[in-house]
Amino acid sequence: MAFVLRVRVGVEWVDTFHPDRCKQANLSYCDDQAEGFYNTMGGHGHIKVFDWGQDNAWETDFTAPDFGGDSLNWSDNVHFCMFDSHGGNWDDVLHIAFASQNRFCFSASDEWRLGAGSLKWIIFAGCDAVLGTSAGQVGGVWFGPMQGVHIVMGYLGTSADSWWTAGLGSDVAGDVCGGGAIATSWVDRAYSFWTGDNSIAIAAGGTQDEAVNRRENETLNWRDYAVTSTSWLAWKWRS
Amino acid sequence: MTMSLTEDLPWPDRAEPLRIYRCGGAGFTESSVAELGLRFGLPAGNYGVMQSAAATVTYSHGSREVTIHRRSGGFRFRDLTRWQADHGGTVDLGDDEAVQIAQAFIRRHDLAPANELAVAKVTRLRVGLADREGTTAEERVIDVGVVMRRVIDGLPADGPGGHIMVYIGADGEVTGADQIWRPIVGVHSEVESLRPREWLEERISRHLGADPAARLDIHEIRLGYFEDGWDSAQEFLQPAYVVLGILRSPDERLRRRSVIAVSAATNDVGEIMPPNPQIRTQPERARP
Repeated sequence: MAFVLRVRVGVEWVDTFHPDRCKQANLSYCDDQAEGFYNTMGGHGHIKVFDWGQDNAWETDFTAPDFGGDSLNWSDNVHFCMFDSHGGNWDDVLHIAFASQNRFCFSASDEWRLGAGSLKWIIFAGCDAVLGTSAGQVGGVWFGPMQGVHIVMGYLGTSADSWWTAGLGSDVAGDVCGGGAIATSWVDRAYSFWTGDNSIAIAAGGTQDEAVNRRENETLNWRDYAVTSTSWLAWKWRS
Repeated sequence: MTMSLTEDLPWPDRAEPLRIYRCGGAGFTESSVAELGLRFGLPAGNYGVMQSAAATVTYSHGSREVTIHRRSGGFRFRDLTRWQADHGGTVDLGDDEAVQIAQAFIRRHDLAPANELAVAKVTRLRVGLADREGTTAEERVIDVGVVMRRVIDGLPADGPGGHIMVYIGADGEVTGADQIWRPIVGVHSEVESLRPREWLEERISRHLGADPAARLDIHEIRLGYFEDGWDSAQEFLQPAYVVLGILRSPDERLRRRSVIAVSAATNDVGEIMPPNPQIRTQPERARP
């Protein structure tokens, strides 16, 4: 078995929204996906740091301190983070939805500084990480928030909340802990011709070659190979 | 939760008789994966590596590996140096050409009879690239994936199983394949009749539960032999209604898709999917 660096892991998820101003349609399987990821990573010896679900998932855990958030103590205080709830993309900004109005009902990607702390990889398992795959559509959303994070993963358009994809987090964690390339593992496991999920992974780099290399080859063992600047993005998706 | 199911949505009725089939047992072992490896040209030599886990058995030799999922018998074949990898080339295959390559691969490796296959989808794995200034941008196809559906009694299988997916790389060669295709060992019973639309509407409502703020817009209802995914032991193949919809929130900018499958025969042999899970709770998090 290959030697794999230990990484710190955190997940947040929301299935149930209350009848208040944060109300959205209830979901059923975000906990399965996120905690499957968390527990499988932990089962392979990685460090389980936080698992905040339902009202315990807070917008401030993702929003940067410049905007009054506390990301450096939570999402950006782990190497690998997964968030699963509703997501929506408008004005080239991904908005992720929370049930608890700790401060706001949404955290918006134009208030993120992903990778300013420890964060290397993050999965947004709700909808609309991107709405299209042109350079403008991907770069318009992600050049700003990616500030040291290596790879962002999510969906092109909507994703399914489904019994049939409840094991996704566990499957992805199993692949990457087995030495699989992170972007490829996500794109492969999260794509579903049956449920209609179109997966995408977006890698950053200071140069074109670095971004492509990360997209194709980066594993958990690249934890300490820092992205010095997000001058390039390289992405792959199946549809 | 309200449900939007328009009367003009096509109803997947069927006049021809259907059956409920018994599936062969799973219990796939190390020898099963070694035999499978031989079919894909992986020699059973001293340099092969066998890895056993609770759910899977994997045999690898050089860059190629095969994995069998013990409970379903489904398998994955990969040439890891080429599967879904970007070597700078472009796969310039039309859908028809890709399907022909996939069919030839399936025939060569004796994966399934040609008359039990239907093309479900041709997918493409693409790569994109851009710099911050927007001076460089490119997009290429690096893999074409052909999904072939299993057909039983003239009715396509539905669900996460019951298909073969063949991956074709930049050189037009097959770089990997997935197959979930449980063997049928006999007929359990004839389907007496299919449940009506009103029954299905009631079942969907029950499944969705009480969430007055949500709305499910149903855009497709299909009938198919339901076959489950990689890690499920499945005793029967039975007809199911598969319902596809968009779950809408009070904030209309937030949507999520929903997929529901319920057994369609009046004499079904059990539920396809479990009821919605209980609402999860956690102890309240301390405020800073």
